[in-house]
Amino acid sequence: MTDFGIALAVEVRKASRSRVPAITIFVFTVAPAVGALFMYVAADPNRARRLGLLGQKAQLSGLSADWAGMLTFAAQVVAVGSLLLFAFIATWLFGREFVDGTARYLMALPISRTTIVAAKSSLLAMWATLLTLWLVAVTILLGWLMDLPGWTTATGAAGAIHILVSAVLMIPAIMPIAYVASRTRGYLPALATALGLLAVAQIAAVLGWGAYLPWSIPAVAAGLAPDQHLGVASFAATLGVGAIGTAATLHWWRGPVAGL
Amino acid sequence: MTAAIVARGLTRLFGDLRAVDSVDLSIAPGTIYGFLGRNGAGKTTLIRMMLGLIGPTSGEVSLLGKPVDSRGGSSGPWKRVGYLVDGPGLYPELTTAEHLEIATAYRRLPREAAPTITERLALGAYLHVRAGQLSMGNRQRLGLALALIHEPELLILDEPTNGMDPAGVVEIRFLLLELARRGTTVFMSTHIVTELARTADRIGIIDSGRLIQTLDHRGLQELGRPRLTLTMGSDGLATRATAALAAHGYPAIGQGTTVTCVDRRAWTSPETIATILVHAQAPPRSMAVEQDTLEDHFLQITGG
Repeated sequence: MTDFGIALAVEVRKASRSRVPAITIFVFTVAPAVGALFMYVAADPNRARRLGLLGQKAQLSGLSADWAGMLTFAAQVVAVGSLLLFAFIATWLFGREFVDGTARYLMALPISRTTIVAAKSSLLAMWATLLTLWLVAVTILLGWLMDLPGWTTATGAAGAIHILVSAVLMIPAIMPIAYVASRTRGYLPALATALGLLAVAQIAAVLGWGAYLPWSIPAVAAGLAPDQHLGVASFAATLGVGAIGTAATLHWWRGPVAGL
Repeated sequence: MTAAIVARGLTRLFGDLRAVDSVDLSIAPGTIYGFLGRNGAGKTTLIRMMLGLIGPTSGEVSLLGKPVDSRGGSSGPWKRVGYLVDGPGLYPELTTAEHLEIATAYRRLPREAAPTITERLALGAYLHVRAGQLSMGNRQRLGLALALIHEPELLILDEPTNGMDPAGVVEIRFLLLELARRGTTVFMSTHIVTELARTADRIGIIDSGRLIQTLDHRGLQELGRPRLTLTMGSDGLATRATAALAAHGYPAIGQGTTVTCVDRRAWTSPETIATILVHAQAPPRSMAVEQDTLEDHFLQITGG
């Protein structure tokens, strides 16, 4: 096995023994369940009236009680929620080594720090992708159980692709969070950065700049801003931020004070 | 023979603070080098630089003939070096066995490595206990197991017996002595001075970032030499006593009202000295056989 294979296997093992994967699965299970509840409420105006505030919320969401509405809700969850959830994963993957005091053990092993950072980044990408696939599966399962109207293969495929593209575009945009978690040797500053980026992304989307800011690009990709469109600049911005975040993280891990 | 650790002009600044200041070291293979210093003296910073965890501001260090690169890397000496610095870094949710399996994987060791080190450090009863639930002493034991699992040629330990009970401390002492007997070089810092005195071949004392003294076997033996200390009634009597003792072939040193005689005959038969002094009309107020410990010496030279 290569050094990268060993490092990745160790990272997978460490993650699988923690509660964090279960927490992330729970979040991406509850989110489509809430969408299904909204569909259930919105499907019948009388039911919505009877349920009071919940009924109003479901109707305010503007979602139609059909497959298109269900998949749009899931895309909204990924476009906004993935920034926070993926940032949570990145913060844990990188920051925990400093919080638990294990970074210094990793830094003088016969496996390079570059390999360890690459393994962590790869696990982050795999974890985020699998979670999104899980969310798509749960969404489709719930829609099927509710017997939502309007299913066509084209609708289902388009919805699923929107969700997956949105998630995949968020993964590189999360790498600066990995840097902040490493640089600040912990969790809170990285999570605060993620919240700050979420606020900035919302503002950028409202101002019509969503296609140029890496953290709002996933929302545009999910079709949440129909008047904005992704172009080469959007993909370049996402890849650029991903590259800068990865390089900064690597530079920090290989830097002269990483093991302080 | 290549020295196991060579440091030249190793210096680390944190702003205006000189945490480590121009440290030169050369440690022979197969020896135990003890490192002594007060809190904040620079011990851990020096160890971190040795392991490449932080880079030096100036100077260089090499382990087992290979230069240490603070950027890490697979080409360094790390396959042959074991370390425990700043306490054991453990994953609370992983068991003892899982930690050993991970170390085995990282270091590409055969499967037998884990059971061997488990037996050696008496961790068998804790194999399936999560690190977060281990006592401090057993966490330290696991940290040592991770440092030793690949049978390193060089072992760098920062406070290896932290949190251990007295029996554990003795056990680790014998383990380190056994490792050194087999040719492993051990570099260890500890605040347990008596432990260091029993274990180390050489001891370096660091204060305010500077390596202020290195004691070898002979230096350590000198420290342990007894002496006869006489307290006189006045400086004049001390001078008279010093002269009387010299006249009888007992070299002595007077300082104020204290006279010290390191001659073996003096501290093995103090009654002879008393007789000489009474005859010289310089009777001492008190006489005591004293012996410096490493601890006394350490406190003396670091201004304690």
